[in-house]
Amino acid sequence: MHYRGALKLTRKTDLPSAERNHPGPPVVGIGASAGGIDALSRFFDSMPVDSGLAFVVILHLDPRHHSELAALLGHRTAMPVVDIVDGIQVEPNRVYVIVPDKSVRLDGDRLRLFKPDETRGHRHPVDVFFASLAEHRRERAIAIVLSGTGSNGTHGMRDIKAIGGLTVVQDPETAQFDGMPRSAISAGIADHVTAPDRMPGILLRYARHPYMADPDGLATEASDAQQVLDPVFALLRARSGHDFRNYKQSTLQRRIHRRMGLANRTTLAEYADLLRSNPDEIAALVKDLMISVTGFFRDPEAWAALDEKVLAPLIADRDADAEIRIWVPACATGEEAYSLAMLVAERARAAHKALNVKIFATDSQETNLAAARDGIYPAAAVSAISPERLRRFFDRLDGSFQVKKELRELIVFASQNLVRDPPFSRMDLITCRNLLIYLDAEAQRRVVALFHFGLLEGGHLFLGNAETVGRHENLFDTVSKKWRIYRRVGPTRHSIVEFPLLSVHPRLGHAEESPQAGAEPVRAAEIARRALLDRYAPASVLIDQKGRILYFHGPTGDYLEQPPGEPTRDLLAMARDGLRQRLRAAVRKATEKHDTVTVSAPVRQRRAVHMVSVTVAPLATTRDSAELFLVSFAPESERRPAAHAVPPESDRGETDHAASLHALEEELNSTRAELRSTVEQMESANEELKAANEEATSMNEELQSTNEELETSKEELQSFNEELHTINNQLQLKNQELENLADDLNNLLAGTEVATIFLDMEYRIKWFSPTSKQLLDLVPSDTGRPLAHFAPKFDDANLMHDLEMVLEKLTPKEAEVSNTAGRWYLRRLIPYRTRSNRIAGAVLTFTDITERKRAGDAVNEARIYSEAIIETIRQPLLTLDAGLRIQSANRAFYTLFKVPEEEIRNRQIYELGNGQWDIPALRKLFEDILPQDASINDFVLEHSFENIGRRIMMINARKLQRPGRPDMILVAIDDITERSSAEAHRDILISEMSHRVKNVLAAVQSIASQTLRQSRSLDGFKAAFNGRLHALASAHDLLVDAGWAGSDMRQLVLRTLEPYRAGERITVNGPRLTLRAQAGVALTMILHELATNAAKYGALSTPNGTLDVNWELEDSNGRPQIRLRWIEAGGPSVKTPSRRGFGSELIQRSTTHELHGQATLDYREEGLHGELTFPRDESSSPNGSEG
Amino acid sequence: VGIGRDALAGLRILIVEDEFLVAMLVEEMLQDLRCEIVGPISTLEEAVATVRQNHLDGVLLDANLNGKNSSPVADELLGREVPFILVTGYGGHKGDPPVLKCAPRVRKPVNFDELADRMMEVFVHRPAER
Repeated sequence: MHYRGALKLTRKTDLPSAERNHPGPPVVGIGASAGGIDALSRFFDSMPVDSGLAFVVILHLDPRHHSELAALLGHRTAMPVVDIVDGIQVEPNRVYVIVPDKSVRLDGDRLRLFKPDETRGHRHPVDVFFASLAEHRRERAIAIVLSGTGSNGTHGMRDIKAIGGLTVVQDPETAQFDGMPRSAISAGIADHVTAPDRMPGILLRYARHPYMADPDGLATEASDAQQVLDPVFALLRARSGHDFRNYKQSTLQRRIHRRMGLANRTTLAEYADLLRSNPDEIAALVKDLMISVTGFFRDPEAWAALDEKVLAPLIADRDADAEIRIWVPACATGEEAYSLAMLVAERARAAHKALNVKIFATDSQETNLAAARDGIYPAAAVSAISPERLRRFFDRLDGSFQVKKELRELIVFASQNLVRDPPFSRMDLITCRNLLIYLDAEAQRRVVALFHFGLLEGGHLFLGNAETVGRHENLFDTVSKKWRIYRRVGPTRHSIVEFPLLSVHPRLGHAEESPQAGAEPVRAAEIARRALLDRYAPASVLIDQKGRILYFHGPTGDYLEQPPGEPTRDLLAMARDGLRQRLRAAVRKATEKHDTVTVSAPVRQRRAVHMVSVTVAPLATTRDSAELFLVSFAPESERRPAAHAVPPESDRGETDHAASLHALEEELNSTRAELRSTVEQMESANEELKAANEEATSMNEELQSTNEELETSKEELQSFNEELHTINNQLQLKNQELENLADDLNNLLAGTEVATIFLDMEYRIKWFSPTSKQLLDLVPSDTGRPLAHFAPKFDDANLMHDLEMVLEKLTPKEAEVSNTAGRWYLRRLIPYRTRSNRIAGAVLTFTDITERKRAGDAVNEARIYSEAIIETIRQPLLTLDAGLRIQSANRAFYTLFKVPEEEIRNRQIYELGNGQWDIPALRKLFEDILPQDASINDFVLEHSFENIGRRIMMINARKLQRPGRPDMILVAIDDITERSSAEAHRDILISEMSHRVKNVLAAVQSIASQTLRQSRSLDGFKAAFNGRLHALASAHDLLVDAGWAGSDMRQLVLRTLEPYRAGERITVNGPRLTLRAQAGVALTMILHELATNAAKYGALSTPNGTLDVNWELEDSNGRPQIRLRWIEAGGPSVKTPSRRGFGSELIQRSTTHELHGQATLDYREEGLHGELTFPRDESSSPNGSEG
Repeated sequence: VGIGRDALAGLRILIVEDEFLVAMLVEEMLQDLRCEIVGPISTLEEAVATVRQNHLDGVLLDANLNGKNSSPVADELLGREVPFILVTGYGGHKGDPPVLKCAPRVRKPVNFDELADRMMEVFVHRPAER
């Protein structure tokens, strides 16, 4: 495949994996839970149907109900949506949906269903599927986590990320339930965080990128892949300080390629441009490159082996208070270190030893270290930890677990890059799992050497399952081959340790500049050259100007040997006997002349002397500074050494002798010359020695002074150390104090249940109390996030505005806010002041005032209620303070007493209305009685008031006792004047009634008595008495009808005559007049007597008789007078009765006595003619009548 | 006529009563006791005038005349030391002016014997005690 630029991406064919050769479609695993349907719908709404991807949807389903999920999603996409059946083949452009009560695994290209082991509620089906997806699809695995609660998916996503797959997480802001997305994001493994409808775009870009087609395929036409990556490495080295050249190239390529896929860049050049312009991408790349798969007790059997074979004996051997040092390099987010710490803690506890355990956990990434120090892990991450360990070593936070402080304190987390920084040393154990696999062979070798250095003798090394100590097997014994546990053997060998600090640049440069010599092909010319050299070149040594041997060539043993004592490289010191002087001279000469000098010299070899030809040849070197010489040794002919070897003892002749003598002389001369030169040399050497001695002496002086200085320094250092020690102690104490303080504060805040949040100047959350979670969805990792990012669970629109005001004006602000659960909080904002009185943000507190608020509301309601009562009731009410000053009065008071409101407030009650209330009885009441009794009931007071006259008041008063405050007095005044008079009136009425009744009874008594006196028979009595009683009753009826006020005259006449009205023979005429009660009764009785008489003797006794009753109002000396006429006609002839009966007496006396008038009865022949005159207004002015 | 009631015969007794039927009854009873009857009078003014103008041995005084209590008459009688008996329908003394309150009384409807006894007591025995 050809792409733009210089790079060519080719498919490597040497990978054995079948999946690589015939890759199935990329599989998108989608994990969701609560709120997931909505997110899934939005996702599939915008997902094209021909993406070439296969989708597997894992949702938490109710195991007991049939799922409609497939049908639901089928409405959202044109892709076929199917429920998963066991063994179904995964094909592109299809959606596979989990079925209830099952877990799903990817196996090759098929989906397998199985019954989950875990009980319901503890299942992590998303994690399970993601893990299998990572295993079987590797880089072609895509994981998506959507809305849901809990942490399901985070763990599996980590696997996918580690293997190089794509991880996409729903933006928590868009999720209905943000637990699962937040968990994944806080684990730092999300490649993309976005809304569901934007995910398809990301997936499509990623799927189209060459990385998906061939993750390993990033290579150039040139064979050396490293050169291609160099620009990227250089950028990383320069910008982040991380050097990846020693990492395994294949892994690096794959991961860089993946980042290119995520960033949608097709060539490395483009990607390098992106890196240059975007620091975030550099950070992301570094993070991805350094990602390591870790977990608690990863490979539990290996850990068990470590526990048993290493930790158990180690702790058993140690004294109770000994130190144990353990190093966990490349600790990532600390799981390995904590696993180890748990094991050590358990062992130490079991052995009852208070060991001083120090675990150094190091990593090169600060973000990792920060996470490791916090020790907070999602529930999924701790699933490998047994419940007992979880209980003992972890605190449960909501949804996650935090390592307990005791365990965290065992571990020192520090920043260290194994490849770059110096190692730790004197360790009992180093565990470094799954790091070496990322390094190339050379780096592995160095790191293992570093481990050897870092361990004590007999210390252990614990590696990952796929790692070994490699070529350094001589440095370590194998304790467990299966579980990769090794023990260091032998002393520290500095030679093998290449401290990164000392040699990092040359070494790293070395790899760059020249390939390994051994790896180079050996050329024929070189072979020939070497053979010739071996065969024909004389034994030679290369020396520098000072005579030190730099290089030996050939067998030089005949001429040179190591003298006893310390090894030396000095040529002259190594020269064999006899050779030294000549050699020295020759070297000097060659040095002086810069020319080749050849001398012969005898050399003693195994008691024999051979002649040897020594050639010293100066070599032209590239630089003039260091001149080198090649000293070659060549044996001379056998003859001369033989002559030398055997003393001249023969007697072969004079010539021989002379020659021998000459030779001897010559030899002597040369010896002399040699001696001279030696003497000279010795003298000069002596001079040199003297100078050297001088120098040595002075140097000694210097050294001594230096030594003294050092001594002083040492003492200083010691005292400094002491000081540091003291300071350290102080710091520790301070630290303890701070911890106590922090505990106190935490308890205080927990105890007060005041939700407290500290904000910095940018409104980011610095700290929050646990109670705050009731008001904001906070998790511990939210520290540092801006407050505005959280949707508050309370109704407070002014919060941000108030925050600005508080920080601007530095005055506290308060508000009452209610949360969604209906509780009320007092929200206070105060500036956060440091001890130096600097403002460093704000403190936001929420105090639960629901009860207070409710009580306040109740009080308020009660107040409104009582005020309404006070205003409604018609009795005047007053409240007085203890000094009897009026505090308030109701409207009825003002109305009744006609005083204006402003006049009475705070006036003493006695002062009111010019002192009209200054009544002795009232003073006695208020000042004597009330202080003793709490109340006054129905005290009646009669008094003349200025404005309203004489009044009868009923006073009720209560002391309102208020704890801690002066009493108040509530006074109710009831104006009972009207009531009193009404009562009096009623009494009168009753008396009157009694009087009337008795009078009536007396009248009846009288009627009975009179009637009896006149009756001749009992029957006669009965008729007369009944008639009269009836008339009396009838008169009273009329009175009662008119309310005893008076009777209508016409009514009275008609009713009285009613029993006699046969036909129309009675005429009644007269104006409408009202008679007073007594007059009415009297008139009724009179008319009754007249009518009875008429019926018995007069006009009414015959059918033809008529009766005319008429009356008129006339004037009598200026007074109105009623004249009533009773005219009978047509009856039997009338005679004046012989004696006056009761009837006529009643008529007469009644008229005079009660009507105060006159009655005349004229017994005319044609009929009785009666006439009554009586004053009209008799009722109102009885004075007017006479006799 | 009971024994001893002869002492009542010939006494000049004024009847003050606004209701003529009652007055008639009382008149009848006094006739039976052979008293000399003055009145009956039905108004306060007439009653006071009659008391001032006549020598009286006793008065039967209705406590209420046309809705007014008859204390002016009683005052006058007390002033003149004329003994009187209240003839009244009132059961109690409540609400009566003091001058009427402690006066001897006969309740309506009038019982002849009671009236006669009370008259003996008030008109015959008491003046004798004085």
